[in-house]
Amino acid sequence: MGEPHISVRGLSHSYESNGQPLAALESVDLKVERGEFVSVVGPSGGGKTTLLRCIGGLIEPYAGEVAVGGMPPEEARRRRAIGCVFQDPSLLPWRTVLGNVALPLEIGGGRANPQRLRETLEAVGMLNFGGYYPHQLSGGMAQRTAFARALAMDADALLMDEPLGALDEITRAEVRLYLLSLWERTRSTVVMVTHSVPEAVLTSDRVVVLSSRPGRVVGVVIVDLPRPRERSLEDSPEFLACSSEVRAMLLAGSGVAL
Amino acid sequence: MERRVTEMSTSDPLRTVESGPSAQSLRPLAWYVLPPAAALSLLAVAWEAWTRLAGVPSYIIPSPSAVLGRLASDPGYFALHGAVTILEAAGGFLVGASVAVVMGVAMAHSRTVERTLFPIALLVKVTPVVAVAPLFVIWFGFGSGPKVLIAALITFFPVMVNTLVGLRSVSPGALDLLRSLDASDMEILVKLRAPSSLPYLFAAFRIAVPLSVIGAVVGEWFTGDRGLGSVIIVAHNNIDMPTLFSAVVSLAIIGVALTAILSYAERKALFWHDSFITS
Repeated sequence: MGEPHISVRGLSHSYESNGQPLAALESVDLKVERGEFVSVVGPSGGGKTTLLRCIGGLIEPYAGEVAVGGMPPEEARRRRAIGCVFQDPSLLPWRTVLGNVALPLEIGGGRANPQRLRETLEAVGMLNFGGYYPHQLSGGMAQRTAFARALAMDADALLMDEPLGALDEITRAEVRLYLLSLWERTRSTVVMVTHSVPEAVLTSDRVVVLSSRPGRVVGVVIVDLPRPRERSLEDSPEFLACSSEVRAMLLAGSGVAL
Repeated sequence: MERRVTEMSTSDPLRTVESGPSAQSLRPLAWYVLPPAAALSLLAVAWEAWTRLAGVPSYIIPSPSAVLGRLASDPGYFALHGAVTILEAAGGFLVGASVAVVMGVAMAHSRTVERTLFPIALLVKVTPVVAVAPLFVIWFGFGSGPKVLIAALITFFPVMVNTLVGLRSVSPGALDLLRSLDASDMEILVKLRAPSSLPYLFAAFRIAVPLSVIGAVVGEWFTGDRGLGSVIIVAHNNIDMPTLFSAVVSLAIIGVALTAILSYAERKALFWHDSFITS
Protein backbone atom coordinates (compact mmCIF):
# COMPACT_ATOMS: atom_id res chain seq x y z
CA MET A 1 0.00 0.00 0.00
CA GLY A 2 1.13 3.50 -0.74
CA GLU A 3 0.62 6.54 1.39
CA PRO A 4 -2.27 6.24 3.87
CA HIS A 5 -5.34 8.28 3.02
CA ILE A 6 -5.55 9.82 6.47
CA SER A 7 -2.44 10.11 8.54
CA VAL A 8 -2.21 11.48 12.08
CA ARG A 9 1.15 11.72 13.78
CA GLY A 10 1.87 12.83 17.32
CA LEU A 11 -1.41 14.77 17.53
CA SER A 12 -1.95 16.62 20.79
CA HIS A 13 -4.63 19.16 21.56
CA SER A 14 -5.75 20.95 24.67
CA TYR A 15 -8.48 23.47 25.18
CA GLU A 16 -9.31 26.01 27.85
CA SER A 17 -11.78 25.04 30.51
CA ASN A 18 -12.46 27.60 33.24
CA GLY A 19 -9.16 29.26 32.39
CA GLN A 20 -7.26 26.00 32.81
CA PRO A 21 -5.71 24.19 29.88
CA LEU A 22 -7.25 20.76 29.61
CA ALA A 23 -5.45 18.13 27.55
CA ALA A 24 -7.89 16.33 25.29
CA LEU A 25 -5.47 14.35 23.14
CA GLU A 26 -1.89 13.33 23.75
CA SER A 27 0.43 12.19 20.95
CA VAL A 28 -2.12 10.19 19.01
CA ASP A 29 -0.95 8.26 15.93
CA LEU A 30 -3.42 6.95 13.40
CA LYS A 31 -3.17 5.80 9.82
CA VAL A 32 -6.21 5.01 7.73
CA GLU A 33 -5.77 3.40 4.33
CA ARG A 34 -7.86 4.41 1.35
CA GLY A 35 -11.21 2.61 1.46
CA GLU A 36 -10.79 1.51 5.04
CA PHE A 37 -13.49 1.74 7.71
CA VAL A 38 -11.99 2.64 11.06
CA SER A 39 -13.93 3.18 14.28
CA VAL A 40 -12.68 5.12 17.26
CA VAL A 41 -14.08 4.07 20.62
CA GLY A 42 -13.23 5.37 24.06
CA PRO A 43 -14.66 6.71 27.30
CA SER A 44 -16.79 9.86 27.27
CA GLY A 45 -14.72 13.01 27.23
CA GLY A 46 -11.74 11.04 25.98
CA GLY A 47 -11.07 13.30 23.01
CA LYS A 48 -12.68 11.16 20.31
CA THR A 49 -14.60 14.08 18.90
CA THR A 50 -11.54 16.32 19.16
CA LEU A 51 -9.57 13.80 17.10
CA LEU A 52 -12.28 13.75 14.45
CA ARG A 53 -12.53 17.53 14.33
CA CYS A 54 -8.77 17.84 13.93
CA ILE A 55 -8.86 15.42 10.99
CA GLY A 56 -11.80 17.38 9.56
CA GLY A 57 -9.90 20.66 9.73
CA LEU A 58 -12.46 22.10 12.14
CA ILE A 59 -10.02 22.64 15.01
CA GLU A 60 -6.86 24.67 14.84
CA PRO A 61 -4.24 24.89 16.14
CA TYR A 62 -3.00 21.51 17.28
CA ALA A 63 0.40 20.00 17.84
CA GLY A 64 1.54 17.22 15.52
CA GLU A 65 0.83 16.40 11.91
CA VAL A 66 -2.45 15.62 10.22
CA ALA A 67 -2.83 14.92 6.51
CA VAL A 68 -5.86 13.92 4.47
CA GLY A 69 -5.01 12.75 0.97
CA GLY A 70 -1.60 14.33 1.41
CA MET A 71 -3.12 17.75 2.17
CA PRO A 72 -3.49 19.67 5.41
CA PRO A 73 -7.05 19.02 6.67
CA GLU A 74 -8.19 22.64 6.22
CA GLU A 75 -7.30 22.44 2.56
CA ALA A 76 -8.90 19.02 2.13
CA ARG A 77 -12.06 20.42 3.68
CA ARG A 78 -12.05 23.40 1.31
CA ARG A 79 -11.66 21.09 -1.65
CA ARG A 80 -14.65 19.06 -0.48
CA ALA A 81 -12.49 15.99 0.03
CA ILE A 82 -14.03 15.44 3.49
CA GLY A 83 -17.67 14.81 4.28
CA CYS A 84 -19.01 15.06 7.83
CA VAL A 85 -21.92 13.43 9.62
CA PHE A 86 -22.62 14.57 13.16
CA GLN A 87 -24.74 13.05 15.90
CA ASP A 88 -27.39 15.69 15.27
CA PRO A 89 -28.59 15.51 11.66
CA SER A 90 -28.89 19.36 11.69
CA LEU A 91 -31.30 19.44 8.78
CA LEU A 92 -32.64 22.86 7.84
CA PRO A 93 -36.33 22.65 8.80
CA TRP A 94 -37.52 24.91 5.96
CA ARG A 95 -35.92 22.74 3.29
CA THR A 96 -37.23 19.45 2.00
CA VAL A 97 -35.16 16.28 2.22
CA LEU A 98 -34.02 16.93 -1.35
CA GLY A 99 -33.17 20.56 -0.56
CA ASN A 100 -31.15 19.53 2.46
CA VAL A 101 -29.16 16.97 0.51
CA ALA A 102 -28.49 19.59 -2.18
CA LEU A 103 -27.28 22.19 0.34
CA PRO A 104 -23.55 21.34 0.33
CA LEU A 105 -23.54 21.44 -3.46
CA GLU A 106 -25.06 24.92 -3.51
CA ILE A 107 -22.41 26.39 -1.23
CA GLY A 108 -19.75 28.09 -3.31
CA GLY A 109 -22.19 28.83 -6.12
CA GLY A 110 -22.47 25.27 -7.40
CA ARG A 111 -25.49 23.51 -8.81
CA ALA A 112 -26.81 20.15 -7.72
CA ASN A 113 -27.26 17.52 -10.40
CA PRO A 114 -30.82 16.23 -9.95
CA GLN A 115 -30.00 12.77 -11.24
CA ARG A 116 -27.11 12.45 -8.79
CA LEU A 117 -29.31 13.69 -5.94
CA ARG A 118 -31.91 11.04 -6.70
CA GLU A 119 -29.27 8.32 -6.72
CA THR A 120 -27.97 9.51 -3.38
CA LEU A 121 -31.47 9.50 -1.88
CA GLU A 122 -32.04 6.03 -3.25
CA ALA A 123 -28.83 4.81 -1.66
CA VAL A 124 -30.17 5.68 1.80
CA GLY A 125 -33.70 4.48 1.04
CA MET A 126 -35.18 7.98 1.02
CA LEU A 127 -36.10 8.27 -2.65
CA ASN A 128 -39.82 8.42 -1.93
CA PHE A 129 -39.39 11.08 0.74
CA GLY A 130 -37.52 13.74 -1.22
CA GLY A 131 -40.41 16.18 -0.88
CA TYR A 132 -40.86 15.70 2.86
CA TYR A 133 -39.84 18.27 5.42
CA PRO A 134 -37.64 17.33 8.39
CA HIS A 135 -40.50 17.63 10.89
CA GLN A 136 -42.28 14.86 9.02
CA LEU A 137 -39.37 12.44 9.35
CA SER A 138 -38.55 9.93 12.06
CA GLY A 139 -35.16 10.19 13.75
CA GLY A 140 -33.75 7.36 11.64
CA MET A 141 -34.95 8.96 8.40
CA ALA A 142 -33.49 12.31 9.42
CA GLN A 143 -30.11 10.71 10.06
CA ARG A 144 -30.26 8.83 6.75
CA THR A 145 -30.89 12.19 5.09
CA ALA A 146 -27.77 13.51 6.82
CA PHE A 147 -25.85 10.52 5.39
CA ALA A 148 -27.18 11.34 1.93
CA ARG A 149 -26.10 14.97 2.36
CA ALA A 150 -22.55 13.85 3.12
CA LEU A 151 -22.59 11.29 0.29
CA ALA A 152 -23.82 13.79 -2.29
CA MET A 153 -20.60 15.74 -1.90
CA ASP A 154 -18.67 12.81 -3.35
CA ALA A 155 -15.98 13.31 -0.75
CA ASP A 156 -13.69 10.29 -0.58
CA ALA A 157 -13.17 10.64 3.18
CA LEU A 158 -16.18 10.51 5.53
CA LEU A 159 -15.93 11.55 9.16
CA MET A 160 -18.79 10.49 11.39
CA ASP A 161 -19.22 11.61 14.98
CA GLU A 162 -21.57 9.19 16.74
CA PRO A 163 -23.86 9.25 13.73
CA LEU A 164 -26.29 6.84 15.37
CA GLY A 165 -25.93 8.19 18.90
CA ALA A 166 -29.23 10.05 19.00
CA LEU A 167 -31.33 7.11 17.82
CA ASP A 168 -33.25 4.60 19.88
CA GLU A 169 -31.97 1.02 20.00
CA ILE A 170 -34.26 -0.43 17.33
CA THR A 171 -33.81 2.42 14.84
CA ARG A 172 -30.13 2.36 15.57
CA ALA A 173 -29.83 -1.28 14.53
CA GLU A 174 -31.74 -0.54 11.34
CA VAL A 175 -29.72 2.54 10.35
CA ARG A 176 -26.51 0.71 11.23
CA LEU A 177 -27.29 -1.89 8.56
CA TYR A 178 -28.04 0.91 6.08
CA LEU A 179 -24.71 2.46 6.88
CA LEU A 180 -22.95 -0.86 6.46
CA SER A 181 -24.44 -1.74 3.08
CA LEU A 182 -23.97 1.82 1.92
CA TRP A 183 -20.29 1.73 2.74
CA GLU A 184 -19.82 -1.71 1.24
CA ARG A 185 -21.04 -0.22 -2.05
CA THR A 186 -19.13 3.07 -1.98
CA ARG A 187 -15.98 1.94 -0.14
CA SER A 188 -14.99 5.44 0.81
CA THR A 189 -12.56 5.99 3.66
CA VAL A 190 -14.47 6.29 6.93
CA VAL A 191 -13.47 7.31 10.42
CA MET A 192 -16.39 6.86 12.80
CA VAL A 193 -16.53 7.81 16.46
CA THR A 194 -18.92 5.66 18.45
CA HIS A 195 -19.81 4.59 21.97
CA SER A 196 -21.09 1.22 20.91
CA VAL A 197 -18.64 -1.67 20.78
CA PRO A 198 -20.88 -3.98 18.69
CA GLU A 199 -21.46 -1.12 16.25
CA ALA A 200 -17.72 -0.53 15.90
CA VAL A 201 -16.94 -4.22 15.43
CA LEU A 202 -19.78 -4.89 12.98
CA THR A 203 -18.90 -2.01 10.67
CA SER A 204 -15.14 -1.60 10.89
CA ASP A 205 -11.97 -3.06 9.48
CA ARG A 206 -10.13 -1.80 12.52
CA VAL A 207 -11.24 -0.46 15.90
CA VAL A 208 -9.01 2.11 17.58
CA VAL A 209 -9.41 2.31 21.35
CA LEU A 210 -8.66 5.60 23.09
CA SER A 211 -7.96 6.04 26.81
CA SER A 212 -9.77 8.45 29.10
CA ARG A 213 -8.54 12.04 29.08
CA PRO A 214 -6.06 12.88 27.80
CA GLY A 215 -6.84 10.52 24.95
CA ARG A 216 -4.08 8.18 23.91
CA VAL A 217 -4.29 5.14 21.68
CA VAL A 218 -4.61 2.12 23.99
CA GLY A 219 -4.63 -0.38 21.17
CA VAL A 220 -6.06 -1.35 17.83
CA VAL A 221 -8.25 -4.39 17.18
CA ILE A 222 -8.26 -5.74 13.64
CA VAL A 223 -11.70 -7.06 12.75
CA ASP A 224 -11.06 -9.86 10.29
CA LEU A 225 -14.64 -10.76 9.50
CA PRO A 226 -15.88 -11.49 5.98
CA ARG A 227 -17.78 -8.86 4.01
CA PRO A 228 -20.50 -8.19 3.17
CA ARG A 229 -21.44 -8.38 6.81
CA GLU A 230 -24.87 -9.08 8.15
CA ARG A 231 -26.58 -8.76 11.44
CA SER A 232 -26.40 -12.54 12.04
CA LEU A 233 -22.64 -12.08 12.33
CA GLU A 234 -23.19 -10.53 15.75
CA ASP A 235 -23.74 -13.99 17.23
CA SER A 236 -20.62 -15.59 15.75
CA PRO A 237 -17.69 -16.53 18.02
CA GLU A 238 -15.28 -14.36 15.99
CA PHE A 239 -17.49 -11.31 16.47
CA LEU A 240 -17.78 -11.92 20.20
CA ALA A 241 -14.03 -12.44 20.48
CA CYS A 242 -13.32 -9.11 18.78
CA SER A 243 -15.91 -7.34 20.95
CA SER A 244 -14.48 -8.69 24.18
CA GLU A 245 -10.98 -7.70 23.07
CA VAL A 246 -12.19 -4.12 22.46
CA ARG A 247 -13.98 -4.08 25.83
CA ALA A 248 -10.87 -5.28 27.63
CA MET A 249 -8.85 -2.46 26.07
CA LEU A 250 -11.55 0.08 26.96
CA LEU A 251 -11.42 -1.02 30.59
CA ALA A 252 -7.64 -0.95 30.64
CA GLY A 253 -7.63 2.52 29.09
CA SER A 254 -10.22 4.00 31.41
CA GLY A 255 -8.17 2.99 34.44
CA VAL A 256 -10.98 0.96 35.96
CA ALA A 257 -9.80 -2.12 37.83
CA LEU A 258 -12.32 -4.93 37.80
CA MET B 1 -37.37 46.03 26.27
CA GLU B 2 -39.05 43.27 24.33
CA ARG B 3 -35.96 41.18 23.75
CA ARG B 4 -38.01 38.14 23.07
CA VAL B 5 -41.43 39.06 22.02
CA THR B 6 -42.82 35.60 22.04
CA GLU B 7 -41.85 32.46 23.81
CA MET B 8 -40.54 29.94 21.36
CA SER B 9 -42.03 26.52 21.61
CA THR B 10 -39.30 24.04 22.32
CA SER B 11 -41.42 21.02 22.95
CA ASP B 12 -40.74 18.17 20.64
CA PRO B 13 -43.79 17.70 18.49
CA LEU B 14 -44.99 14.28 17.52
CA ARG B 15 -43.14 13.44 14.39
CA THR B 16 -45.10 11.28 12.06
CA VAL B 17 -44.49 10.15 8.56
CA GLU B 18 -48.05 9.13 7.97
CA SER B 19 -49.36 12.67 8.19
CA GLY B 20 -48.00 13.49 4.74
CA PRO B 21 -46.51 16.70 3.36
CA SER B 22 -49.45 19.06 3.71
CA ALA B 23 -51.21 17.52 6.66
CA GLN B 24 -52.68 20.03 9.06
CA SER B 25 -55.41 19.62 11.57
CA LEU B 26 -58.35 21.55 10.25
CA ARG B 27 -61.15 22.38 12.63
CA PRO B 28 -64.47 23.59 11.31
CA LEU B 29 -64.59 27.35 10.81
CA ALA B 30 -67.43 27.50 13.32
CA TRP B 31 -65.05 26.36 16.03
CA TYR B 32 -62.97 29.50 15.51
CA VAL B 33 -65.80 31.96 14.96
CA LEU B 34 -68.64 30.95 17.27
CA PRO B 35 -67.15 31.31 20.79
CA PRO B 36 -65.74 34.84 20.30
CA ALA B 37 -68.87 35.88 18.38
CA ALA B 38 -71.04 34.68 21.25
CA ALA B 39 -68.91 36.56 23.78
CA LEU B 40 -69.05 39.76 21.72
CA SER B 41 -72.81 39.52 21.24
CA LEU B 42 -73.30 39.00 24.96
CA LEU B 43 -71.21 42.09 25.66
CA ALA B 44 -73.19 44.15 23.14
CA VAL B 45 -76.54 43.02 24.59
CA ALA B 46 -75.41 43.88 28.12
CA TRP B 47 -74.17 47.28 26.95
CA GLU B 48 -77.42 47.98 25.07
CA ALA B 49 -79.52 46.95 28.07
CA TRP B 50 -77.47 49.07 30.43
CA THR B 51 -77.70 52.27 28.31
CA ARG B 52 -81.44 51.80 27.91
CA LEU B 53 -82.36 50.77 31.42
CA ALA B 54 -80.08 53.30 33.15
CA GLY B 55 -80.94 56.00 30.63
CA VAL B 56 -77.32 56.86 29.88
CA PRO B 57 -77.32 59.90 27.59
CA SER B 58 -75.85 59.17 24.15
CA TYR B 59 -73.44 62.13 24.37
CA ILE B 60 -71.69 60.21 27.15
CA ILE B 61 -71.99 56.58 26.04
CA PRO B 62 -74.07 55.75 22.97
CA SER B 63 -75.79 52.39 22.78
CA PRO B 64 -74.38 49.76 20.39
CA SER B 65 -77.46 50.17 18.20
CA ALA B 66 -76.76 53.93 17.91
CA VAL B 67 -73.14 53.23 16.94
CA LEU B 68 -74.11 50.58 14.40
CA GLY B 69 -76.77 52.94 13.06
CA ARG B 70 -74.18 55.68 12.56
CA LEU B 71 -71.79 53.22 10.84
CA ALA B 72 -74.57 51.95 8.58
CA SER B 73 -75.79 55.46 7.74
CA ASP B 74 -72.51 56.38 6.03
CA PRO B 75 -70.21 53.36 5.60
CA GLY B 76 -68.32 55.08 2.76
CA TYR B 77 -67.23 57.87 5.11
CA PHE B 78 -65.62 55.47 7.57
CA ALA B 79 -64.20 53.28 4.80
CA LEU B 80 -62.53 56.29 3.16
CA HIS B 81 -60.97 57.62 6.35
CA GLY B 82 -60.08 54.06 7.38
CA ALA B 83 -58.27 53.55 4.07
CA VAL B 84 -56.24 56.71 4.69
CA THR B 85 -55.22 55.46 8.14
CA ILE B 86 -54.36 52.01 6.80
CA LEU B 87 -52.20 53.46 4.02
CA GLU B 88 -50.33 55.72 6.43
CA ALA B 89 -49.81 52.86 8.87
CA ALA B 90 -48.68 50.51 6.09
CA GLY B 91 -46.27 53.11 4.68
CA GLY B 92 -44.84 53.73 8.14
CA PHE B 93 -44.57 50.01 8.81
CA LEU B 94 -42.72 49.41 5.53
CA VAL B 95 -40.29 52.27 6.11
CA GLY B 96 -39.72 51.43 9.78
CA ALA B 97 -39.38 47.69 9.27
CA SER B 98 -37.04 48.11 6.27
CA VAL B 99 -34.68 50.40 8.18
CA ALA B 100 -34.93 48.06 11.19
CA VAL B 101 -34.05 44.95 9.18
CA VAL B 102 -31.08 46.63 7.49
CA MET B 103 -29.81 47.88 10.84
CA GLY B 104 -30.45 44.49 12.46
CA VAL B 105 -28.39 42.73 9.78
CA ALA B 106 -25.54 45.21 10.22
CA MET B 107 -25.62 44.85 13.98
CA ALA B 108 -25.79 41.06 13.87
CA HIS B 109 -22.76 41.11 11.62
CA SER B 110 -20.58 43.24 13.87
CA ARG B 111 -20.55 43.80 17.62
CA THR B 112 -18.91 47.19 17.02
CA VAL B 113 -21.80 48.31 14.83
CA GLU B 114 -24.18 46.97 17.46
CA ARG B 115 -22.51 48.95 20.25
CA THR B 116 -22.49 52.06 18.08
CA LEU B 117 -26.09 51.96 16.91
CA PHE B 118 -27.96 50.27 19.73
CA PRO B 119 -27.93 53.28 22.11
CA ILE B 120 -29.36 55.49 19.35
CA ALA B 121 -32.05 52.92 18.63
CA LEU B 122 -32.81 52.73 22.34
CA LEU B 123 -33.08 56.51 22.49
CA VAL B 124 -35.63 56.43 19.68
CA LYS B 125 -37.50 53.71 21.53
CA VAL B 126 -37.68 55.37 24.95
CA THR B 127 -38.68 58.80 23.63
CA PRO B 128 -42.51 58.88 23.69
CA VAL B 129 -43.55 59.31 20.10
CA VAL B 130 -46.48 61.49 21.23
CA ALA B 131 -43.96 63.97 22.60
CA VAL B 132 -42.26 64.55 19.26
CA ALA B 133 -45.36 64.33 17.08
CA PRO B 134 -46.09 68.10 17.20
CA LEU B 135 -42.52 68.71 16.07
CA PHE B 136 -42.98 66.50 13.00
CA VAL B 137 -46.03 68.52 12.05
CA ILE B 138 -43.92 71.68 12.05
CA TRP B 139 -41.18 69.98 10.05
CA PHE B 140 -43.20 67.95 7.60
CA GLY B 141 -46.46 69.79 7.24
CA PHE B 142 -50.05 68.66 7.20
CA GLY B 143 -49.90 65.85 4.63
CA SER B 144 -49.20 62.18 5.16
CA GLY B 145 -45.49 62.76 5.89
CA PRO B 146 -45.60 63.15 9.68
CA LYS B 147 -48.09 60.27 10.11
CA VAL B 148 -45.95 57.87 8.11
CA LEU B 149 -42.89 59.00 10.04
CA ILE B 150 -44.53 58.48 13.42
CA ALA B 151 -45.76 55.04 12.39
CA ALA B 152 -42.25 54.21 11.15
CA LEU B 153 -40.63 55.32 14.40
CA ILE B 154 -42.98 53.29 16.55
CA THR B 155 -42.52 50.22 14.32
CA PHE B 156 -38.77 50.39 14.17
CA PHE B 157 -37.55 49.14 17.54
CA PRO B 158 -39.30 45.79 18.03
CA VAL B 159 -38.47 44.79 14.46
CA MET B 160 -34.81 45.78 14.84
CA VAL B 161 -34.32 43.94 18.14
CA ASN B 162 -35.96 40.77 16.89
CA THR B 163 -34.03 40.84 13.61
CA LEU B 164 -30.85 41.04 15.63
CA VAL B 165 -31.81 38.27 18.04
CA GLY B 166 -33.25 36.12 15.25
CA LEU B 167 -30.16 36.33 13.06
CA ARG B 168 -28.05 35.22 15.99
CA SER B 169 -30.36 32.40 17.07
CA VAL B 170 -29.21 29.76 14.66
CA SER B 171 -28.85 26.07 15.37
CA PRO B 172 -25.20 25.46 16.33
CA GLY B 173 -25.22 22.17 14.41
CA ALA B 174 -26.38 23.81 11.19
CA LEU B 175 -23.83 26.59 11.62
CA ASP B 176 -21.12 23.97 12.16
CA LEU B 177 -22.22 22.19 9.02
CA LEU B 178 -22.11 25.34 6.87
CA ARG B 179 -18.72 26.31 8.30
CA SER B 180 -17.40 22.82 7.56
CA LEU B 181 -18.51 23.42 3.97
CA ASP B 182 -16.53 26.65 3.94
CA ALA B 183 -19.64 28.77 3.36
CA SER B 184 -19.08 32.53 3.14
CA ASP B 185 -20.71 34.94 5.61
CA MET B 186 -23.13 35.93 2.86
CA GLU B 187 -24.10 32.30 2.20
CA ILE B 188 -24.58 31.72 5.93
CA LEU B 189 -26.76 34.84 6.09
CA VAL B 190 -28.93 33.88 3.14
CA LYS B 191 -29.20 30.13 3.65
CA LEU B 192 -29.24 29.90 7.44
CA ARG B 193 -29.54 33.13 9.42
CA ALA B 194 -32.30 34.81 7.42
CA PRO B 195 -34.71 31.83 7.45
CA SER B 196 -33.87 31.16 11.12
CA SER B 197 -34.81 34.74 11.99
CA LEU B 198 -38.27 34.56 10.40
CA PRO B 199 -40.09 33.32 13.54
CA TYR B 200 -38.59 36.24 15.48
CA LEU B 201 -39.45 38.65 12.70
CA PHE B 202 -43.07 37.57 12.65
CA ALA B 203 -43.24 37.87 16.43
CA ALA B 204 -42.04 41.46 16.02
CA PHE B 205 -44.59 42.13 13.28
CA ARG B 206 -47.38 41.01 15.60
CA ILE B 207 -46.40 43.89 17.85
CA ALA B 208 -45.35 46.37 15.18
CA VAL B 209 -48.42 46.19 12.93
CA PRO B 210 -50.91 47.34 15.61
CA LEU B 211 -48.32 49.89 16.74
CA SER B 212 -48.11 51.34 13.25
CA VAL B 213 -51.88 51.94 13.30
CA ILE B 214 -51.48 53.69 16.68
CA GLY B 215 -48.71 55.81 15.15
CA ALA B 216 -50.89 56.86 12.21
CA VAL B 217 -53.84 57.73 14.47
CA VAL B 218 -51.64 59.78 16.83
CA GLY B 219 -50.29 61.66 13.81
CA GLU B 220 -53.83 62.35 12.61
CA TRP B 221 -54.80 63.79 15.98
CA PHE B 222 -52.29 66.56 15.58
CA THR B 223 -52.87 67.59 12.03
CA GLY B 224 -54.83 67.12 8.86
CA ASP B 225 -58.46 66.43 8.07
CA ARG B 226 -58.24 62.86 6.83
CA GLY B 227 -58.02 59.52 8.57
CA LEU B 228 -59.89 57.99 11.51
CA GLY B 229 -57.71 59.91 13.99
CA SER B 230 -58.97 63.24 12.71
CA VAL B 231 -62.52 61.87 12.59
CA ILE B 232 -62.18 61.12 16.30
CA ILE B 233 -60.87 64.63 17.10
CA VAL B 234 -63.62 66.38 15.11
CA ALA B 235 -66.35 64.14 16.61
CA HIS B 236 -64.94 64.79 20.06
CA ASN B 237 -65.09 68.55 19.54
CA ASN B 238 -68.69 68.24 18.39
CA ILE B 239 -69.59 65.89 21.25
CA ASP B 240 -70.75 63.50 18.51
CA MET B 241 -70.27 60.26 20.42
CA PRO B 242 -71.87 57.87 17.89
CA THR B 243 -69.38 59.07 15.24
CA LEU B 244 -66.48 58.87 17.68
CA PHE B 245 -67.43 55.33 18.70
CA SER B 246 -67.92 54.35 15.06
CA ALA B 247 -64.36 55.48 14.29
CA VAL B 248 -63.10 53.47 17.26
CA VAL B 249 -65.02 50.40 16.07
CA SER B 250 -63.59 50.90 12.57
CA LEU B 251 -60.08 50.96 14.06
CA ALA B 252 -60.79 47.77 15.96
CA ILE B 253 -61.99 46.10 12.77
CA ILE B 254 -58.84 47.26 10.97
CA GLY B 255 -56.72 45.85 13.81
CA VAL B 256 -58.47 42.47 13.68
CA ALA B 257 -58.18 42.32 9.88
CA LEU B 258 -54.47 43.18 9.85
CA THR B 259 -53.76 40.64 12.58
CA ALA B 260 -55.67 37.97 10.68
CA ILE B 261 -53.73 38.69 7.47
CA LEU B 262 -50.48 38.57 9.41
CA SER B 263 -51.39 35.26 11.08
CA TYR B 264 -52.16 33.79 7.69
CA ALA B 265 -48.84 34.95 6.24
CA GLU B 266 -47.03 33.65 9.31
CA ARG B 267 -48.66 30.25 9.02
CA LYS B 268 -47.66 30.06 5.35
CA ALA B 269 -44.08 31.21 5.90
CA LEU B 270 -43.38 29.26 9.08
CA PHE B 271 -45.05 25.94 8.25
CA TRP B 272 -41.79 24.28 9.25
CA HIS B 273 -41.54 25.91 12.66
CA ASP B 274 -42.32 24.06 15.89
CA SER B 275 -45.14 26.43 16.73
CA PHE B 276 -47.08 25.42 13.61
CA ILE B 277 -46.34 21.74 13.48
CA THR B 278 -49.41 19.78 14.38
CA SER B 279 -49.30 16.17 15.26
